[in-house]
Amino acid sequence: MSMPEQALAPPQESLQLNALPDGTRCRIHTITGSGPIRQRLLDMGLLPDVELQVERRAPGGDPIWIRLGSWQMALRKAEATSILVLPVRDA
Amino acid sequence: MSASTQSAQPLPVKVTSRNLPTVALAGNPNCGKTTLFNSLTGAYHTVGNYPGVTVERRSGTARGQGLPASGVSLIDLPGTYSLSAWSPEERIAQQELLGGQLDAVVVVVDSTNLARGLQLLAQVLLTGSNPVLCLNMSDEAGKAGQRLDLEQMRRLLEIPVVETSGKLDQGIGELREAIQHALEHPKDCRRRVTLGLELRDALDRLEQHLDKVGIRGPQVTWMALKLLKEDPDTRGLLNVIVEESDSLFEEAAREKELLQKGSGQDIHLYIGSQLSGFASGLVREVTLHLSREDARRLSDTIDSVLANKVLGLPIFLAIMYGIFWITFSMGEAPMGWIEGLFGFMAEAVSGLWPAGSDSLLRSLLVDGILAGVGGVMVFLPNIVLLFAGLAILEDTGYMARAAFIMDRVMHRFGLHGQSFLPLMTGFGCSIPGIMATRTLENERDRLVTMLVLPLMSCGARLPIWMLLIPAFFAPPWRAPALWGIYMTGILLALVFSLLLRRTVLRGEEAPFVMELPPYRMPTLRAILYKMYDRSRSYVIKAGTIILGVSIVLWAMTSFPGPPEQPAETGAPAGIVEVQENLDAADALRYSLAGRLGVAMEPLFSPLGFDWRINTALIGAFAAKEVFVAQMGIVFALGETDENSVELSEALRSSYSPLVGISLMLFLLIATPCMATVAIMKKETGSWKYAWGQFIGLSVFAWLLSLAVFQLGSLFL
Repeated sequence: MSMPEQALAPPQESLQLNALPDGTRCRIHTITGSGPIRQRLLDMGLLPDVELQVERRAPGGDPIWIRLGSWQMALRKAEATSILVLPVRDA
Repeated sequence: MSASTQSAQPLPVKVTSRNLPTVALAGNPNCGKTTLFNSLTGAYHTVGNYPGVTVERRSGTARGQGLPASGVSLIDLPGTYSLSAWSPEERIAQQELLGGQLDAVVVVVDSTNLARGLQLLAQVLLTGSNPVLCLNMSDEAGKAGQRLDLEQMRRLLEIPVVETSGKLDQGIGELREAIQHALEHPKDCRRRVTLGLELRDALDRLEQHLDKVGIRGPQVTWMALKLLKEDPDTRGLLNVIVEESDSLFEEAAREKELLQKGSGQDIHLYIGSQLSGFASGLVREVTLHLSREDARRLSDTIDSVLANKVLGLPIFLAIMYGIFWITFSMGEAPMGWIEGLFGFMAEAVSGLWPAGSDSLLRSLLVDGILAGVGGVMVFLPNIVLLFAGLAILEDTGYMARAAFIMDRVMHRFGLHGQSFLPLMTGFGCSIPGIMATRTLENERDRLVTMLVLPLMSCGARLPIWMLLIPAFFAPPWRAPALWGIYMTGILLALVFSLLLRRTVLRGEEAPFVMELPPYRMPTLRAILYKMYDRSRSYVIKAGTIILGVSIVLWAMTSFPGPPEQPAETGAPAGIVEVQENLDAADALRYSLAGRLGVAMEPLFSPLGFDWRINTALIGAFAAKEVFVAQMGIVFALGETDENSVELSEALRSSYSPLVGISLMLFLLIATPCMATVAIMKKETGSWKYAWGQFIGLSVFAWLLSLAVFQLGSLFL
């Protein structure tokens, strides 16, 4: 398993998606991890530079509901940790 | 275990006529493929507004203007985000697309989510398939203000492109023509996918290498791409068919390193970005007018209430309660009509014989068939109502929200959030519920879900509740009792999955990632169809299986007849009647079913069941509704009176409410029906789980009913 993405250290301000409060907009920096779940996220279009917004959380705080442009999806906190994002400052 | 389960993934390959051209519908989950399939073939398969409604490969013949007169064999594939195939149902789609047997592939894209659908198109193009692009849900996209330049799209891709709305049945004619055009002018569009120069060169070099070892054909590009990703399936395949496969793998590894170094991304991110770059570039080129940002505001507003962190869960429980309440209250009047109809028929048939006749044929017709089948048919209105409610939840898109809301609870009990939808399907029938577990990627998640699924009270058990609840509960408690029995099933399913996850099916947790479709107004046609479809299969089942089993049970309950009776004495009429009723009861006890029931008494008396209930339990294994049918038969044969009392009243006077509760719990949990055992064998690939489930649930049911009845007897 070669993991070149480890070679590029994420910029200082990149965060795990699960750390963002509801309503935050952000841009995907990279998707870490490996295997089927990572591939599934990539297949669904969660790729570097894609913008997304944290909409809400389910009762109990998990899973997280996110919007990516015209569509929405839910994922658990555990999966959200593998999505590194850069918060987007509103103009 | 996983090997045996995988080999059991049935590929229901229906042999379609060899002469017909074969066309597949491929697309993302919930993009409306099945609606289009139904329009093209005139079939009517279930659709819903959540991902994963279609889990099997279906085929049908498409005919109509534009297509060849003999038709086209059309395949509806399960939805898939890519051709990587992680879950069983995605594997079905991938195998079909890469199998090389298709004459054309219609890539169905949700127009409101264009870029992601076009990523799948890019992959299909790279496989060398002969494509048609179908931009579905164009009505919805159009309403949101999106305008596309189809001419430009055709020019860029050089493939047929059509806009359709499966919901409004628009563009179907054009789609037929496009399919026909593609069949007449097959195209290899691998080069139409714009990729970065480095990736294109790497693929070219790998294709040349493949050519050197004798692998040619339109699929080589896709194979080269898979080699770059070090896909184990592709490597396994090449290991078998190519001798010097190692040098090929080395070459691929070198190319991969080169691409990774050049891009600074690992290969999966890199290829993903390339495909999405192609898709978003295409969207930019063909978009005349973007959809307005506010187009989905209504859906968002609804979600801020229904999917709310605080309100979401109580609203979900209230909605489910509402459905059960409607099932009861609105079902009452039509139930009365059906009851009246069967009562009238029974009287009419009885009238053909002189009063007091003990004709066997009369008994078969009235006490066997009419009591058995009629007893089941009475509950048709409840079935229709329950399914109308569930259909509305499915078609609006609420089910996906419910899965989101319930995930935390499910997760805590070791179930996967995605298990929620198959479990809800189980309220209809365990069979499609068990099949729907194919959307689960992880084998253990899938097994746990299948094993607890029969605890979801299925439609066949509804007649049992509708018979027993009014018999033992006062009117204000009936809807809560029904809700309670469903909740008991859910609660037990959760507890059992926790137990299974902690013991035999321990393992890693699978991730939960689910798309949430926007709310959509269900079409009346679709809802009515689901109601019709469910009632039709209920009536058919009543007319076939229930009828057959009723006759068998009637015979078992009538024969052998009691030994010679003493001649009637000149006793007063009242005494004669009592005597006759006693005789009838003795005769029942003497019959084969009666003897079986009596023989079962040592096992079931501690639960509060008598021999009459026992005979009905035997039949319930064939089909759950038979319990109701057999109770009808036993009580019809057991009375000599022509004006039969209502069955639930007869039950009330024969059994205590405690027996009722013990019995309801037993019927909820014990003995999944024959069909469930069979489908478990089919889907898990082993009898171990099928019978394990059967025995485990039955033993538990017995213990629980025993505890409830014995403890209840102490306190009541």
